[in-house]
Amino acid sequence: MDPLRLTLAAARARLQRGELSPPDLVEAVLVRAESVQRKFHAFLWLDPDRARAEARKVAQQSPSGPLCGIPVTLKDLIAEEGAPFTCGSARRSGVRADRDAEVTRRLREAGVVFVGRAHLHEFAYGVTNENPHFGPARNPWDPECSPGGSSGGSAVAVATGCVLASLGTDTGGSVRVPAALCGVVGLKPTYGLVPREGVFPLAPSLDHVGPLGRTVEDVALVLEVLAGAPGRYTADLGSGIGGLRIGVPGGAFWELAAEGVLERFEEAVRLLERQGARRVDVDFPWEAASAAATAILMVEASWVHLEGLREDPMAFGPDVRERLLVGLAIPAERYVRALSLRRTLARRAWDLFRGGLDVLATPTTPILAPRLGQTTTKLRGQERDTRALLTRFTNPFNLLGLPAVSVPCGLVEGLPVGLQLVGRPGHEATVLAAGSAFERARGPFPTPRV
Amino acid sequence: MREEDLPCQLRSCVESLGVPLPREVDLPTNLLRAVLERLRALDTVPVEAEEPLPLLWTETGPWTPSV
Repeated sequence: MDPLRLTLAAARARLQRGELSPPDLVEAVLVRAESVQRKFHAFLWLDPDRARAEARKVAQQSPSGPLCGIPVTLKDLIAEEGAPFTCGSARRSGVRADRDAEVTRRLREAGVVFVGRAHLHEFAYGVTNENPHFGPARNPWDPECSPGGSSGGSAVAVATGCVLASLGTDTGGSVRVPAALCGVVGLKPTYGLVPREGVFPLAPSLDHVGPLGRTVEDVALVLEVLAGAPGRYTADLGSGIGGLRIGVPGGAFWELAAEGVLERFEEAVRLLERQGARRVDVDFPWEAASAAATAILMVEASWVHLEGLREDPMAFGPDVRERLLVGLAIPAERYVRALSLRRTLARRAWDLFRGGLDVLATPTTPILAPRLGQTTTKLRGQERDTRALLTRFTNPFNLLGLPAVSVPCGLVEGLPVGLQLVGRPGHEATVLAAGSAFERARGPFPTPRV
Repeated sequence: MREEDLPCQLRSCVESLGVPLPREVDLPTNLLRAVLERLRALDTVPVEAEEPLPLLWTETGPWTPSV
């Protein structure tokens, strides 16, 4: 059995029919995980015997939960009782969680088997997953490239068949960016839908917990457990998108996108149109929204880590330390302005949806996976900051709290490109149905050679 | 904030909040400059007398507490 060829939904069906047992499935993914770990470093911790013991335990549960026997890994800032809880920081080496986060508890109750702890950017504060304490996670499509972050290990683990789903966190794009760069599906739900209790914060006003999986259906199945809503997100997945109004940003939005990415995006929109969707041009102050997200994130992250900075600023990696120090010096007026602007922009976004828009579409990232260590990217003749570019299309939706999914939509130079679909608040089902319709029209997405 | 004041301003913020940064560590002045420049975009949209309150969504749009 090749776990790379198995979706969560297919594995679930085989497990429920008794054609596959949780111990057999977990054994298959552990074989994969141990070989992938050497090359791509998806995990910060891997304890095969613990996973085997959990698999034997869930195999005996009766009645079994909706995700019984499904191997899942959690980003190592989501508490899992008895497991390491480093948050990607050396200063937390040796820390183990004394209880489950609420999302962990819900998944455990649903019968999942936890496999290892997924790699991440230090304290989730970065989008490249280059971690000075533990080394980088690597992109399964090209190990010299970043897998994206901060939930990079989660995306690598899913893309390489080490697990069938993962949980990440997303404050500026940290689920969707690695999902796009690794060629898997990642969802940031509506702000507040999924509980954050037991999840180490980065910027509480923008933090979201979300699933990554190989298909939209896989992500929807996990979301149903996280949100405690059986059937809500899978019921409409097979429906068509005839008449769906899809908004596409215009104007200056595209000045920051690479040409290859734009070509794949336009092809994706045309594919949606051929399924009956209607394209609508949308005007919105994206630059202001992205700036407001940046201000809120930087100030709140510095507040979250102020005690750590006071204890020992040098215990942080250089990139994270720099951002935390800068956050301390952003004037309070900028932060308050950003919070006020957030409400203004939320009202404008609401007006867009009330005006008839169903879904908004953008590329997930304006550029392809950068090479490890690449701090700037040349775009249309100008060198730009790679980290800021990677979140430019995702962080407005953290600011606005809207549900957004990234679905693989093609390859450029052998690297995946993501299509981001954004919906009105609480309408994850619409976003996922649109993503699923796109997947069907697109056909199977290739897997990396690992 | 004036350009020439940035290093001093950054050092002052860090120290006044009790962060013991060794003197030999370079302060990320260039990053602060780039971030403040980017935050100018906040001024491109008029804020409609909004209070800086948390954002929560409801079925009827952005949630606004009674003020």
